[in-house]
Amino acid sequence: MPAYNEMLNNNDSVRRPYGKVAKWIDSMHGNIFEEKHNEAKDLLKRIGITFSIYKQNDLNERLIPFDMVPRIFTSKEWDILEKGVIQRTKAINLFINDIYNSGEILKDKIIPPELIYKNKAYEPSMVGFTPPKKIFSHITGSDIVRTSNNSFMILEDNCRTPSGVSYMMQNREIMMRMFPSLFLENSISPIDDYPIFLRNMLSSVAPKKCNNNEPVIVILTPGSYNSAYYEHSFLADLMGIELVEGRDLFVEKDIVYMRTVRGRQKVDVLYRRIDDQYLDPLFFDRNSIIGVPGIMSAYRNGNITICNAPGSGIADDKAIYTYVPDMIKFYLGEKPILKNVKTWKCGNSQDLKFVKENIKDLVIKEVHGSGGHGMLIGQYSTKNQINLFLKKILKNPENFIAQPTLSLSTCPTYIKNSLEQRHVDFRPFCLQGDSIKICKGGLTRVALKENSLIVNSSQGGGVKDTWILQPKDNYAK
Amino acid sequence: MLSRTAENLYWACRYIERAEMLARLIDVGYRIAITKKTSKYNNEWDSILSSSGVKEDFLEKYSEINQRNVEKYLCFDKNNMSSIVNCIIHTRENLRVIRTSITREVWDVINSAFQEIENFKPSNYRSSKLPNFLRWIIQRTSMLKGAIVSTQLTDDIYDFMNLGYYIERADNTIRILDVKYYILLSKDNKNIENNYQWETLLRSIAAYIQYRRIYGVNVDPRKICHFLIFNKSNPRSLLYCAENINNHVNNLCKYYNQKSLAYSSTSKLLAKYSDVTIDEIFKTGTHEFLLDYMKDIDSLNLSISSSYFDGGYNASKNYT
Repeated sequence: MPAYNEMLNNNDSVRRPYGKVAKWIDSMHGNIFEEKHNEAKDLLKRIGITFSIYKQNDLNERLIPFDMVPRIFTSKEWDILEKGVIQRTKAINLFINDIYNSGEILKDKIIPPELIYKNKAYEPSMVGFTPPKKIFSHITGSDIVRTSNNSFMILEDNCRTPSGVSYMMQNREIMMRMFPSLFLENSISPIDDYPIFLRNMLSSVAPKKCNNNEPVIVILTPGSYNSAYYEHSFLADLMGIELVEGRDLFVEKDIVYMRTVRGRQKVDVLYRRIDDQYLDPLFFDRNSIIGVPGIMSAYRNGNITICNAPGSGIADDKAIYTYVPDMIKFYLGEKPILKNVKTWKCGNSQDLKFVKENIKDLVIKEVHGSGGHGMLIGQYSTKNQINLFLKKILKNPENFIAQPTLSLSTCPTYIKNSLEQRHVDFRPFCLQGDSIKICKGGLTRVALKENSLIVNSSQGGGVKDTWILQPKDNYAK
Repeated sequence: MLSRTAENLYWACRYIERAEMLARLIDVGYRIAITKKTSKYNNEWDSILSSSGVKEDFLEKYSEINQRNVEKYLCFDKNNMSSIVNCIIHTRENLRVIRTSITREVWDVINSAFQEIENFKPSNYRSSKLPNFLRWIIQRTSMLKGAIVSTQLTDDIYDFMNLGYYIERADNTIRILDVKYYILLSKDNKNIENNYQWETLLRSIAAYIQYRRIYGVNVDPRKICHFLIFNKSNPRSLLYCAENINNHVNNLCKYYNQKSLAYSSTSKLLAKYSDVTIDEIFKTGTHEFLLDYMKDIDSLNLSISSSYFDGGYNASKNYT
């Protein structure tokens, strides 16, 4: 079955939400598309979106490819996504809080305890601790794929430090600068309030002990050589808060201070963009030089809030993923709105048998892998590659899961002077503090290689602006 | 503001000011090279190397001080920490890590300059392209200053940026003056060379016409020294720099409502030099005067650093 085409019906007519975009594409004859494409590149360069990748100690900066053809959701489609993601995020937060406290879901035998307690992402230092408002995963970015007109599936939940929101905003910025008329013709939901949501959410989870009128919030970055540094700096800028590195902070008597030109200043909320293991050398990896010694003790004493909470990763593990629908039923008593992708756990002998027999039609992923690394797509692999990978699986079956090769929807994408169909996914950003909110937009990632299903920017993926149409525009001609 | 941020702002502006000074110095060298073909005097590249303080490093790499080598070394050499290309890279890097503190306009200028400088690769470099390159550098440094003045808030960020600009500029003015003075005093130089040298000095600080407007067409060491040391209307004079440094440090003290070591250093500096006269300088020796001044600028740099860049520990101490 061919992949769902976001823009065209089976008979090649244009789907209604894309009507004006189709006319806009048609209006750019000859070299205009090419010229605009290059103009967008220049604009991106100047605005400064580069993500860095390491190559032999050399820091390269290169552009994340931006594609001008937008990806569009109708408000009806969005309603489903929004409700589904909010439901899922709520359940995930209840789950994490439960796991580190009374463990009801384990007592009820819904999730096997060894899956939690033997998990690398489980953080023993969080046991018995309840963060403000009982929220662990304040910022959640779930990866969603579309396989048919009305089938959206969650591929992955990201509960640690999901990135990409700056691309969402810059994609919009570029489109608005280059094609203002598109925004006049279509009623597109604005996304520029995301930093305000984010700041308000972070303020809402300040520690009870916080006695600053306005909580002091900072973003902790691993430093300017990190691949997402641009995003850290961008968010700090738009929220009007300081972007700090570990060396800018110190802890004295369980209070976290930042070093400023005026002297020390107490910090109340830390939006950290470094992994748990580097956060505090006294608690985790003692070789970490990007962390803040003593911050975990300050945290556990209620003097600072860390977002997302250490140990949140337990919820986005690929093995735990299979249980999210059960969590939704268990904690919320609701039916899951968004489906999971069918997943076989190689640790289970029956599943492993199935995986071995059907590997040609499956995608195999490492449980802790990310960024499109450490995976095998059976359909596009040689016999040799499959055999090698099978050996890896058999050595440590618990470490792998398998999923069917999904037919990700496609979107027209500008490739070498023509528009071609390329596979896309979608990441919305959900914020939970004293309330829960989802930004009316998100990041559409596109695999630029023909037939490729890997959309990650580290593997040659690009990005698109994503429009959520307002209700009156759904059926505009 | 984070201490680290203040330090980045300060150094970004020191590097960009350095890039501009280098561009002007090299431009003068180029001008001499194309107009003075008949003269035996060929020391200009030597004096440019000395002024920019990299002569020793240069000689480790090249045996001959000639136009091509000096241009390559000062403009493009990535091993020369203070080459123009490196100054642009350092400025951009210092600003990149604190993008939250600067406006989009400021970032846009330096980031574009950084992207565009790739077009001036040493591999396809030809001496004839040099004037374009230098003009381009001077335009970009001016644009950056313009973007700072017209878009940045005049808050502490602005003060730290300006401290970088004026400290670096004072340092550069001293170097240029000292090196030229040294050459002019050497006995081999005849009068006609002298005049030419003074003129190149004025050109290198972009004040050739301005000097004439104030002091007339005759170049005279006394007048030049007055112009570069005491003239308050000359944005490159030492007194102008010292007063601005003092103002920006005062602003910081008011802004933070606390005095600092930098405050006492800059007040002392200003007091020390505001009573000096040209006659006194000529009596003690210009070179000695300039060396002394250079030391004071160095120690001012250190006190700014310990007052604001060392982190919260020192900044919380009160100086009264």
